[in-house]
Amino acid sequence: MSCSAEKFRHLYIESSILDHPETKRIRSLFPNAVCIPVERYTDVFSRPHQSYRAQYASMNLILAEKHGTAVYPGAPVCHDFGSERFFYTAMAVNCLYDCSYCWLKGMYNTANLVIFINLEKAFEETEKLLEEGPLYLSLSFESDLVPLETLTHQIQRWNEFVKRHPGLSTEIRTKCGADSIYASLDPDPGMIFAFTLSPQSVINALEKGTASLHERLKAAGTAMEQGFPIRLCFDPMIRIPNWKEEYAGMVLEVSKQLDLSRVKDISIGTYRQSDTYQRRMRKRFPASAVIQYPYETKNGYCQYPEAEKNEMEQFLKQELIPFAGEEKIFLLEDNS
Amino acid sequence: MIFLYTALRAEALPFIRNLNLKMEEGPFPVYRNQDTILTVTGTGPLSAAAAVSSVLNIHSPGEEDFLMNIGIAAGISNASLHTVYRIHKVTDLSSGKDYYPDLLITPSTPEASLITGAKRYAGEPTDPVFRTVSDSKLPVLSDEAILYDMEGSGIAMAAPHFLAPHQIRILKAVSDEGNPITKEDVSALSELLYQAYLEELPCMKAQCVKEEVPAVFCDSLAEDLHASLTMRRSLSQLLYYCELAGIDSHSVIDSYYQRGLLPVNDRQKGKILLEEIRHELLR
Repeated sequence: MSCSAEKFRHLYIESSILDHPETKRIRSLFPNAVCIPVERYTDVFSRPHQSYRAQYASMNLILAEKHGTAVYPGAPVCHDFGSERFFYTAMAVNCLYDCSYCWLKGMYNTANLVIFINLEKAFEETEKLLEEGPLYLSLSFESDLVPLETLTHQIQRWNEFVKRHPGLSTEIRTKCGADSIYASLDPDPGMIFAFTLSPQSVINALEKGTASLHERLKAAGTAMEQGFPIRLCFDPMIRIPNWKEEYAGMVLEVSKQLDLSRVKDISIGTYRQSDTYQRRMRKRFPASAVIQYPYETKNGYCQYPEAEKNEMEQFLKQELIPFAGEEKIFLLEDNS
Repeated sequence: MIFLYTALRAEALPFIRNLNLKMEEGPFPVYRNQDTILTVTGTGPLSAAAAVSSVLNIHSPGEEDFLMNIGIAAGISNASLHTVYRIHKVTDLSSGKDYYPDLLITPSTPEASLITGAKRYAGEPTDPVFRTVSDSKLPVLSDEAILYDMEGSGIAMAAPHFLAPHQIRILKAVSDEGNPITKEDVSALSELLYQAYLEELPCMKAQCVKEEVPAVFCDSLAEDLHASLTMRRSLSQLLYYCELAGIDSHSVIDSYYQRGLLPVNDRQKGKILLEEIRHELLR
């Protein structure tokens, strides 16, 4: 899945940034797209009753200027990897991929993609936060930035920013198998590439458009050889039939392609979703088994029952320990 | 169901004739057959909005249904006479509000923006609409095709209360640039619009598809479990998931009846058994 010249038939562009150099650059990548000026991106992005299903096959691109806050405190259901100050930024919203379980489907009712072109705003806010001490910043919270890089150049710019700010640790999480990007960047301990990994059967069923497990591992290996810290994220684990065999098989595949003793760390998590988003997703995707699974609701979040959740997470942890060592593996409870 | 809206009866004539639509009584002139309802709204955005609400309130459109507003419009800039355009943006002149139908699957018809006002367009350079556009009071691109009509924003304002953006389509044929037009002009353009409608039809049908979902009936089992409302919801969700995932819940539940474990005597036992059934189905 990539951003070819025919990917977007329509570009909705906020009128205030029509003449911005970044807008012109992005427009030139899609010469056949119809450009439609808009007052605010939300006029298109937040229309009521949109259909993700109908839109995904004909996704449109929205270019906008970020106003208000660009850097937010991290969510409690996300791993903070031991950092006391966990934040995220979302200068791209929505994703080229179509993962059935993705929380973005509960947060937004559209498949259209938004790129905020004023990345300097996120830089300014990050610098202000760094005045108070080091922090961990997730860059790809609401999108997968790697397949969008030819469009946005955001990873390149963050790479340059990270090099100038030693107290900053950033994470770019991806399901992309493209590995040429890593040679074009300057490795830095503050730029962690995190690869979401699932058994191939889960990828086939639930992670449409993403790279295969093999391709992701190859990309992770390339990034590792380039000198980037690598994180592996087995998250979310999905309780599919024969899940033990599937996840055990996946760990063997991973261990064959990667030296797990060299990864920075590993996170494990099972499916979890805010109750509000879960209800929206159930309404929007009535035929999706993973969304319609009868999760339990605990403290406002839908998840597997505690016993099942622990069984899955502990199983995978035990499978990984011989290859990675226990100290590198983070479960969500480790956040507290 | 296909919901068509035209402002004038003259615009509707090719559709009435070719689709064999029969007149129905109602607050607005309505013509219909088995799968198409055409409403003549009259002129003006308020009338158009009222017509949309009037018809869609009665017929409650679903996922497979869609709406098309079809009619003639004036060209303000970069618009070719006697050309049909698909509208990707509608601006209501009085409020300044914009509406965006989703153009997903697209034939070769060119696209344009549409401005809607309550008065007839008199042409450049004195018409306030022309001055609004030429003075850049609206966000437009220099090469953008811009049309003007008197109904589009009413349709675009009312329709989203009933339909998703991809279920709404506006087609306009450019009849003039502010100069008066004849009945023959309207007739010719209406035929052109009918042809454009036929080209648009398969695209709309392809993008308005109902998702099939299984039906789940659990009233009888819920009674046998003495289920509370919460238990009933959990049971319904469990059985619905089993249908989607291809898990044979019927055999598992039948086995509980065959072993005499169902029905139970009270809610407490029902709760325990429901948890057991859940575990059995999801292991």
